[in-house]
Amino acid sequence: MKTTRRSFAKVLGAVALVPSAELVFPLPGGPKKQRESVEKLRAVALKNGDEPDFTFSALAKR
Amino acid sequence: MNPYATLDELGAMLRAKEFSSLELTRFYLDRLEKLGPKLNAVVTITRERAEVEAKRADAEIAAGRTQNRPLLGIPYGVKDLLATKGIPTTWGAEPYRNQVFDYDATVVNKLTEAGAVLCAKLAMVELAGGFGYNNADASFTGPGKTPWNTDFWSGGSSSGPGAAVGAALVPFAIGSETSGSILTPSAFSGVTGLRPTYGAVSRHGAMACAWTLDKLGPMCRTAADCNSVLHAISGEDPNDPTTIGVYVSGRATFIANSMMRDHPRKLRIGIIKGSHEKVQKEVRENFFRSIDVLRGQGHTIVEDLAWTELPVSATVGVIVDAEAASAFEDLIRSGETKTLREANDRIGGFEAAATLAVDYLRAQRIRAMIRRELLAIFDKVDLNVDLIAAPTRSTVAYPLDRNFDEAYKGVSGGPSLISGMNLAGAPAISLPNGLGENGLPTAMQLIAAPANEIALLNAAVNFQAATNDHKKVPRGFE
Repeated sequence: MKTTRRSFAKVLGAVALVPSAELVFPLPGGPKKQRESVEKLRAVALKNGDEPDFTFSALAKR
Repeated sequence: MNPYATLDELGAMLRAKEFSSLELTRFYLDRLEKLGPKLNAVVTITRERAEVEAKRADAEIAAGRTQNRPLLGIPYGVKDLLATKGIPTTWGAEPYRNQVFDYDATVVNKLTEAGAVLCAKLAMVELAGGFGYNNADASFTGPGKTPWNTDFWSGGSSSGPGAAVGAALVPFAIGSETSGSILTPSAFSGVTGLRPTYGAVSRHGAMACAWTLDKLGPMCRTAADCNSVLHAISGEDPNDPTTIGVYVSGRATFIANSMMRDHPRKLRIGIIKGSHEKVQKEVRENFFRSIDVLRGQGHTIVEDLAWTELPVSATVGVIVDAEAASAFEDLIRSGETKTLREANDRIGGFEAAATLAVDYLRAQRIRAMIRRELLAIFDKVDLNVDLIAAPTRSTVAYPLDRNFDEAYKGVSGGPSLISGMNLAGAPAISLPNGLGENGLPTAMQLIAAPANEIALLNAAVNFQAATNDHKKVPRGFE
């Protein structure tokens, strides 16, 4: 049977008590530097309201 | 002819008819042909187009149409990621060796309007380094070499503009910076390079590496030259929406070089804590010599400013990975990445393409936090800092025969000002400030708040009026 995103999500949902972060958010398997970069970003605590600035303008109100 | 003359000097001699633009152009074309191969600085010499443009400039000069046209008749080169009609634009990479566009990039159009003469497409690191190269030999034209010592790198990814301006193969060049690609080759090649505010200069017709970070800017002999070139290439362009509202035509965004020299501003210049400690000895000594010059000119130096604790380099890394993987998706899917020159580049695209969307968005969320923190340095009333000063790079140029991460193992560097200020979209200028190990140049960078190029260039122009390091000429390239 073909595994779709939906069926994969159902499996994950069924085992929600099992830590599944590594399945959903795998770390890059590439060079150490890339893996470390992602780990550093994931260590930053973000909260509701910490939004990306999609204008990317250097002059946006800050 | 003095190949190391500034733009103002060359312009004055052209207007005085000491030589024609055609003679000047042929003089630099000959240097490009003769000396370019020694530095792996040139991809294509555009002799035919240059001679046509030079003759046109001579006609304008003869007709007296010279007022406020400091680039009229002046030769230049562009990093080979800017589209030029009918001339190959290779992006420094084997898979694009035969790529030809049928239009000119906006920057090239603006320079044509200003009367400048395109002489060369200059070498660059393949794909502007978007796939994570770790070695100078990362271009199908070979490793860029600094004219100061050809066993060492000219810096990247604007390796050709750095080497070509450093050896006076052209009076000025256009480079690009995603995170360090103008400042680094400027420092390693002993030239003055300006990274403008994000959005100040249209990228239409330029290869994209990372859309939310890419900028184009001048690499020149002096800060005054950078000012003249920035004036010609900046401004709004409907083909690049990021330019809208940044350098609006009609707004006072340009002060003539002579006015800057006549009216030096007294500024408050901050130094970030830790930015000058873990650097090479000569880099530190030359930096403090430069600070003494700034202090002597009446600027107030504010020391020990705090830097962000947020992961600046990691944030840039993830953003560039995701955006470059998207920009070069066709190349990655085709498998032609195997023909790239540098080992990391051959696999880097596949690794970058595996970046999760949530991690990319996390990086952009953290970027907004970093930007707020860094730009607050300029905004805090108690600090009231106009500029930040720091060594441009913690070391001199890397040797060609070693990987970057093995070149200077004892030098860990400090806070990543280049990455951080690129995330913030802030402008910076790299100014030669002496020599270090192996006779290689060192440099100081000045950084300003976005769209404050006027203060940045005022300080830089007047710094160079009091120093001579930018006038030094590399041996063998006189």
